[in-house]
Amino acid sequence: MSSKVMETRYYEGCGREGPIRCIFLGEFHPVAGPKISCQFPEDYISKEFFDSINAFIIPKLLIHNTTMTINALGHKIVGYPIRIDNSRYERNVYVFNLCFVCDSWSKTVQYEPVVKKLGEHLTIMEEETRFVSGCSNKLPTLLAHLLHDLNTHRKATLVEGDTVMHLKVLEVRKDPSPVHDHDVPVLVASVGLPRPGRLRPLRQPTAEDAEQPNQEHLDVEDDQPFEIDITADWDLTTRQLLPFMNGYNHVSKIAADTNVEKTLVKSCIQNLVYYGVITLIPVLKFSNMYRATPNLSRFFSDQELQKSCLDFITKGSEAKDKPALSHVLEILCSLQQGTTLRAVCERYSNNSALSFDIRRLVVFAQLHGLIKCLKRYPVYIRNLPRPNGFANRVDTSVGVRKLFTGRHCTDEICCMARIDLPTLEQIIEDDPNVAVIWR
Amino acid sequence: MLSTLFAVKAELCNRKFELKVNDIRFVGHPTLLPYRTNKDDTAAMILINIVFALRASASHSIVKCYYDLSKRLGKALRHEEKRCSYLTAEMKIMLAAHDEVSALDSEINSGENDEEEEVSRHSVSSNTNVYGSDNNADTLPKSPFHLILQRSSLARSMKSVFEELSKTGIVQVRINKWVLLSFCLPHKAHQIHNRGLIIEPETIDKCLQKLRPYHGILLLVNPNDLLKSIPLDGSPALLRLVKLYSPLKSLQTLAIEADLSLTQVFQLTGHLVYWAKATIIYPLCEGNVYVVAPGANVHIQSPLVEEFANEFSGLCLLQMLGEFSLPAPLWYVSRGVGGGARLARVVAWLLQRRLLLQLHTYVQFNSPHWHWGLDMDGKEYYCEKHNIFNQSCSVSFSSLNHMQLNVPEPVETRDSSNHYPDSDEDYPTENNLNQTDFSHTKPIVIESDLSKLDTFNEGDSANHSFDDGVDVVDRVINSTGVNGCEYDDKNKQKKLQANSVDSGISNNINGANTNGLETNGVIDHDKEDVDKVEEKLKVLPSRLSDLSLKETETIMNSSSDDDRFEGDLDVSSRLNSNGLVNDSDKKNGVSLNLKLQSEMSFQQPTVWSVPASCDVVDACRIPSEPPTTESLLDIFSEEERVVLSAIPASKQTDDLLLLAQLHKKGYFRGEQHLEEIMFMENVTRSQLMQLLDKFKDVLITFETEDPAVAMLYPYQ
Repeated sequence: MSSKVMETRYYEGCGREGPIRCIFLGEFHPVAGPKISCQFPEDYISKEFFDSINAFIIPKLLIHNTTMTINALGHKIVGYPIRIDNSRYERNVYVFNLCFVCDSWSKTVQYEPVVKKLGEHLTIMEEETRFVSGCSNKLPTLLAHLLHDLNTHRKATLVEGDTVMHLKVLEVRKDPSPVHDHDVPVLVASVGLPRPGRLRPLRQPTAEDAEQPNQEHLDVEDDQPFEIDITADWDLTTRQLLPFMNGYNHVSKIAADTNVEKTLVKSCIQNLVYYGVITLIPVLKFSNMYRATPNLSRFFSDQELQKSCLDFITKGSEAKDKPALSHVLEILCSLQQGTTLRAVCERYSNNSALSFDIRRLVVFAQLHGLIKCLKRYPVYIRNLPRPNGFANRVDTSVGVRKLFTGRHCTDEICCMARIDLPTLEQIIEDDPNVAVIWR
Repeated sequence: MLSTLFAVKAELCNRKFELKVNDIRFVGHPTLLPYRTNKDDTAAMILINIVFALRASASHSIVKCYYDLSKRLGKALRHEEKRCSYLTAEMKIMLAAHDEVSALDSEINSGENDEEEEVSRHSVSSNTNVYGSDNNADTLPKSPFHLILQRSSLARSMKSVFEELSKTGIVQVRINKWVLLSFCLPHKAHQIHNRGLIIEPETIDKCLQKLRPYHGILLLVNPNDLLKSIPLDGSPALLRLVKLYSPLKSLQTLAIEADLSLTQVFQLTGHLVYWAKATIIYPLCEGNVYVVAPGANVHIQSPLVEEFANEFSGLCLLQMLGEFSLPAPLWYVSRGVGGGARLARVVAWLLQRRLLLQLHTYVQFNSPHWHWGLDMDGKEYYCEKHNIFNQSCSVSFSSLNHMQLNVPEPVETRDSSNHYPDSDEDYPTENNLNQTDFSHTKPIVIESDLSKLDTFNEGDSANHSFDDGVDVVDRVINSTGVNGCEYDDKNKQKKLQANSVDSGISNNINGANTNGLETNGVIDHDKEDVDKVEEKLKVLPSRLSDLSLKETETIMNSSSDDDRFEGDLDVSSRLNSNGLVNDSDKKNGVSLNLKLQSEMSFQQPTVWSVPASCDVVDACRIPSEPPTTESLLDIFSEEERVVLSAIPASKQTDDLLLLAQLHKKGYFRGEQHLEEIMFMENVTRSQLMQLLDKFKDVLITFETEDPAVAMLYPYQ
């Protein structure tokens, strides 16, 4: 179970999902005590192993109808012990537990709802037809189906008598960060392959891959991220919003343009962020400054990435000849903290080099994490001035100034106060008490 | 009810126990220990299982840490049981307490007590886990456990473990007043200094793998406090390291001074980082470029603002961060703060709180297909600043070389001249240099970026910004009217001399570096004289550096070889004797002590003083035999050679050779920053800057953080 090869890639806590190795039904036998009444594949869980952990499969009183995961001796077992009180049983009570067995390294949260649902359905079936306790001979095939379907399709449909059971393994992802008014959604798929995000490991086929053919489905989501089809049956809001997500429109603008309520837009975008369909980037402005990230060095050597970059930045431009890569690199490198995008554009404007849309380059680089946008935070370095009675002219800047707390960047302030950037810049400039921090 | 789950079967003992029930994850290490009874010697065993209840979403590395703690507590208890049947005694106290309570109100919780007793016959698992719960409130009946807490020292230890864990993440408990158990939960411990900063041990491991000898450490606590907190049986190596600590020293320097091997120092560093006592930085020096860290808290009401104001009177944290909004080398920022020494403390303070992040320059060789004209200038304004700065120093220096050609290694020693003169002019002479400071600064203001573009676009750019740099200096000099012509002179000399500049790259690794340090001392020594001269003449900063260097050179040439190999200690003592003792605020702040502060601008962190002892580094450095030009140029493709030949600088074989050499070793792939190249290849910053400037048509630079250092920042 813990061969060296596995340890390198699949170690405990590696956060990867593993397949279901075995499904078994444990029950409390009136004579023999806790035992496995049925398992698939056969003999995966040995008698000895079961005996040492049966306290967690068939727990004592009170701890029933809870999801329990025990990680011991190289196996991780997800179970949902169920107890049915009924006088028809020998001990007036029947306890059973349908468990999924995984490798100890794998993540199992995603199976918990499935196990729970299965358990609840089996309870109903047991109450109706004594399906479980009757040691139905359908059970082994049912488990085999379940194991196969869940591992290969990540979903399964069981039809048993009158009950139809739909099961689906849902990926548990991190909660998406909140969506702000000034965020700009970009479709991840729009930049083409290779996908931004995680670093693609340079995979070479190893013996380990051959050893474990049934693990291949695990890597599916690594290699083929969610493809988005704009014509697919998304919900109405999403379908309405998608054409406006061009990498330049921020959330407020999208909401205004589509005439959709802003909270609705936000929750829709958050949903898409959760599934990795879109990512959020700051608004592209020519007054922005950008800074390279350590990832940029990857771009120099990754030819695939370079190619997709050239494709992306020339998309939609009339110029026939593609810009030279070295030139793109140079522009990318000149996007540094201290130089605004405008300055970079001006520097390159007088030669033919700028034959592509630099905005697309910025979007591309941000999506791949090659550069990051710096945000401007105006802050009061002295106490906030009290509004005194002498200030008789009603000034929008008073309200705006309250936002100079260091918590809001200029984009955010612009959105909140509904003013444009030059106005804000003027307010900042006019006030000697305000410092600007780029971060 | 849970006790049945924790009293595991023997097969599961002495290994990891992990159970998740709904949203709570229980982690423990069931430990079996022999039960010593007077009556019979049969294999009666006690099972203890110290279980921590965690939120199920807790990450694996947290779980692992708690598991480790449980295991160690188990071991400690096993030891104590073996030594003096501590556990047996404590168990009796607990049982007695339970009995007492159940006798008092048997009608209330009789059932529970029975179970408890039954369990206790073979395990005391449930007794201890009450206190070990991390996140969920203790809901168990109060009375018996209350009583136990009063009577049992074990229960008290467990309580303090829990309290310390939830408060700081660092546990120091003496079980039975005998076994000292120290434990640190890094996820939590790092939050003492930086709220919201979660550092996993895995991150620290990764960071350690990327650690290089040129990195340094920055203590997050007062070194004296740290020394006090190290237990008596602590490693003497650690003590030595902490005593010699300075944020200005590289790990290699520390290793040499503390007489430890580099790997040892790395391990100790890892240790200090793990225990949230230190973080990894690139040693503070004048040329470092810092910017505000992405995760920095810049809120006006953050407690940091107050803390900062108390620590550094007259300075405002937010204003300070505003200064760092645009990347600039430290010496440049130091003008506004009032001296490099103070700035060093400010920067250290900011770095400790992860408010600043250092940027490094990375170089990429870039000319596979050269399509457009050579008329553009890829330089940033900060590069210009570097350039002006470097050139103004190097020009003066090379001219000196020219005059005194008996100096054996012209290039190496320039390193020292590179940084010090400018820093010298800044703070010790604050009073009389104030106005000159501004005049010096003027030509380098940021806006110059745009205005200069026009001039850059015309003519040969390779030498242009260089000339520009001189221009700037010239202008200043003319304004004071002292010696503008001399500069022109030097400028010419510089061009003449360019051939010999790079001659000493690879064959003089050793001697030159000692010279570097030596120079420090001497410069310092001479400074006083220079100061006097300066008061009379009101000479400009750059002029000052010239003077000091001139004198330095003379002294260096006259000094014997023995002198040159003087130890580092000697130099630093000299520094102390006449160094910046006039440092106005003697407040012995955060963690830098005075001596170290004054060294700040004098010690180049990557310079090592005793070349013989840097074993590891030498091994990975270049071969002694310099390869031939032809073999080196093989690295360039046909197209690249065409491009190269178009660059005027490639007429200089030395420059071309250096370029080829560095390129061949893969330094121009955007993966190593300048400091690393400097360290690994033993070249100086000015050499590299010149190379970058000369070949700027094919070398592009970008600035970003050092991943090894950035790993220990939040949100990375």
